Amino acid sequence: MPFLSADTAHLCLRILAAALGGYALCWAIFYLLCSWLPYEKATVWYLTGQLAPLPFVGVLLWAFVSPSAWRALGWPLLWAAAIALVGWLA
Amino acid sequence: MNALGKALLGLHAWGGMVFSWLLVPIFIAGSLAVFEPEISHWMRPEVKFADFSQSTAAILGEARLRQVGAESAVWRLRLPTERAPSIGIGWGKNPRALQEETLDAVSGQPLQVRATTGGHFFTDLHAELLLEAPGKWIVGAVGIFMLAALVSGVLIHHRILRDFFTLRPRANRRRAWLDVHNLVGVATLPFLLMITYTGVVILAEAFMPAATYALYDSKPRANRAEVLKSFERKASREAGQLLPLAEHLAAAERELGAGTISNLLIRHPADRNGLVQAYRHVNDRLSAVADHVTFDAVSGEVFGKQVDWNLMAYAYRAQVGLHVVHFGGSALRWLYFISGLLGAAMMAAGTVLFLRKRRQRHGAGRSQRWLEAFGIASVSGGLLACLGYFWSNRLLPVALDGRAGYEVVAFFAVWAAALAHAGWCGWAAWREQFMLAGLLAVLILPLDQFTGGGPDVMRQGFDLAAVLLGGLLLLIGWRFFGRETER
Amino acid sequence: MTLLFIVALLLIVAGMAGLALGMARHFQAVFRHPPAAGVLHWWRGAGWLLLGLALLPCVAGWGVAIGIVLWSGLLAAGVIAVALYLARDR
Repeated sequence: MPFLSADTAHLCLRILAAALGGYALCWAIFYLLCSWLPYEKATVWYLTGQLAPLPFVGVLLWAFVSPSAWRALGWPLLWAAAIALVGWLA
Repeated sequence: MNALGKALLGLHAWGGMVFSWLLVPIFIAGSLAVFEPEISHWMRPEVKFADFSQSTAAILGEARLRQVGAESAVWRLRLPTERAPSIGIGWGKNPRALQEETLDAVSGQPLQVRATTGGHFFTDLHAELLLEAPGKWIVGAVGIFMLAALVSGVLIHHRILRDFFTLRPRANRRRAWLDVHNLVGVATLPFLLMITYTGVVILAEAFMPAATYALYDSKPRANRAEVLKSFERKASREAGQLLPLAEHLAAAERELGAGTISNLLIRHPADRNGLVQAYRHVNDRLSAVADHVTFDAVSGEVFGKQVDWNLMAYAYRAQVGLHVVHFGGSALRWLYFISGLLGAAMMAAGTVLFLRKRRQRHGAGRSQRWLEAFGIASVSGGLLACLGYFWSNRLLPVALDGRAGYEVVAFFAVWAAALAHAGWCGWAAWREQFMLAGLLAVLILPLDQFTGGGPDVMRQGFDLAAVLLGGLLLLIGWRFFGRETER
Repeated sequence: MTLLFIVALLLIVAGMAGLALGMARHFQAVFRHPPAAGVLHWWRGAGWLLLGLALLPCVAGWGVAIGIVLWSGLLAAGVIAVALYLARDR
C-alpha cells in the first residue's frame, strides 16, 4: 500500500492550491494595483485593503471545483505570475 | 447533482465541519465581544455604577494624575461613560505602555480592582485566538473559508426560495436539522457575509502585507501615519501652568460636539509646550475614525484639528466600523449579538447534520467518535468554557497572585474537560453539556447576588441576559437533543 | 428610539408575514384553503411595501447609514419569527 492514496494526494494538492494560489494571486493583484494606480499612496493602500478577501475566496472555490488537481494549482499560479509581470512592467 | 455541485457539497460539508471547530468559538467570542465594556464591568464588581458628571470626573482625574504622575511625560485620562462608569488614568513615558489606575467616577478615589482580562479576553480570542500575529493568520484563513462556505452553501441550496420560511420540527430528524441550518443561514446571510468579509479585511493588514511592501518599504502603520494627522512638539524644558483639564474638555466639546469626548491625552503636562489632545467618539457614524483636536495646554488655543479624512481610508474604516459596531447604541449591539449567535447556531446545526449522516453511513467507528467529540466540544464546550471564565472570576480569591491568568486557565481547563467528556460520552454529551451550560448561565444571577458586592444596574442587566440565555440553552438541550433524537 | 425600534420590528415581521402568505404552501397552511388566482401577488406586494416602510423608522432614528444596517439586520429577525410561527401548525 502506498504512503498516500491518489485521492489523498489530490486533496492535499487542492488544499495547497487554495492556500498558496490565493496568497500568490492576492499578492500579485495588490502589486499590480500599487504600481499602476495613479493615486496617493494611502488611497491605494486603503483600496487594496478592502479587496483582500476576494482573490482568496475565488481561488479557494476554484481549487475545489476545478476538474483536475493540477489545474487547481496551476491556473492561479499562472495568473499570479502574469499579473505580477504586468505590474512589474507597468 | 452534477459534478460541480458534488465538489461544492464536499467542500461545504467536510470543510464546514472541520472549520466550524474554530468558527463556532470565534463567533461565540465575537458576539460576547460586542459587549466588551459591559462584561468588563461585570467582572470588576469593585466598580460601582453611579450618576457621574464628566466635568467633575475630569477634575478628579486631573487631581489624581498630579499626585501620582507629576513628573511624567504623558498622561491619559479616560472619562466615565454609560458603558464604562469609572475614571481611567494612565501616566508614564510611552503612550503605549502607561502605568494605569481606575478611579471611582463620583469620589475620584483609587479603586482596588481585581486583576482580570475582563471582556477584552473575548475580543482577543475572537480576533487572534490569544496568539497575536500567528492567530491573525489562522483566523484570517478561517474567515476566508467561511466566505467560501457561504457562497458554496447558497449555490448547493437550490431550493432556497421555495424553502423560505420553512421549518418542520416534527418531520424526520434530518429534515428538521437541515431546515434549521438553511433557514438560519438564509435569514442571517447578509449579516454573515458582511461580518466575515469585514473581519477578513481587518485581518488582511496582518497577513497580506503586499501593499505595505510595495508602497511603504514594508514599514507597518506607515499608511496610518499618512492619513492620521499628528500634532506634536518637543518639550521646551520651561515650566508651564496647565489649564484645568475640565476647561480643555469643554473647549473640545465646543469643537467636536457636546457629549462626544471621553478620552484625553496630555503630552508634557508641566511644560510650557504641553499639548492636550481630545478624541471624539465614533458612536454615531458608520466609519470608525475618531476626529481629534489638540490644544495648547497652557493657553488653551487650538493647536491642530482633524475632522476630514482621506476618502478611501474613510471607506476602509467604515468596514472596520461595520465589524466592531460602536455605532447605533444598544439596538445595534443586541442585533449583532443575536445575529452572531445565530451564525454559530447555523454552523452547529450543519455539524450535527453532517455527523448524523456520516454515522448512518459509516457507523460509530473511532474516527466518528473523534469528529463527534470535536464538534460537541466546539459548540457546547465553547459555551461551557465562557461560563467557566465568568464563574472563575467570582470564585477565585481576589488577592490571588496572577489571578487574571488563572481565569484564562479556567476557560481552557473547562474546554478541555468538555472535550474529554464529549469523547467519553459520545452523542449524549450534546444534551448533558447544553443542560449544564444552561444551568451555569441561569445560576449567574445568584452567583452575582452573593459575590457582586451590592446591587448595580449594569450587572443586573448582565444577570438578566444570562438567565434568558441559560433558559434558551436548557430548552435547546431538552428539545433538540432529547432522548428520542439520539443518532 | 425604543418606540421607533418597536415600530420597525413590527413592520418587518408584518412584511415578512406578507411575503410568506404570498407563497402558495404557507398560504394554504395558514388559511386552510388554496389561494385564489392572483391573490398571492397582493400578499407579496403588501409584504414588500411593509418592508420598505420599515426603513422609515430606522432612518428616522438612526440616520441613513446606520438605519440601513439596522433595517437589514432586522430582516433576519423577521424571517425567523415568521418561520417559527408557521412551524407551530405543522
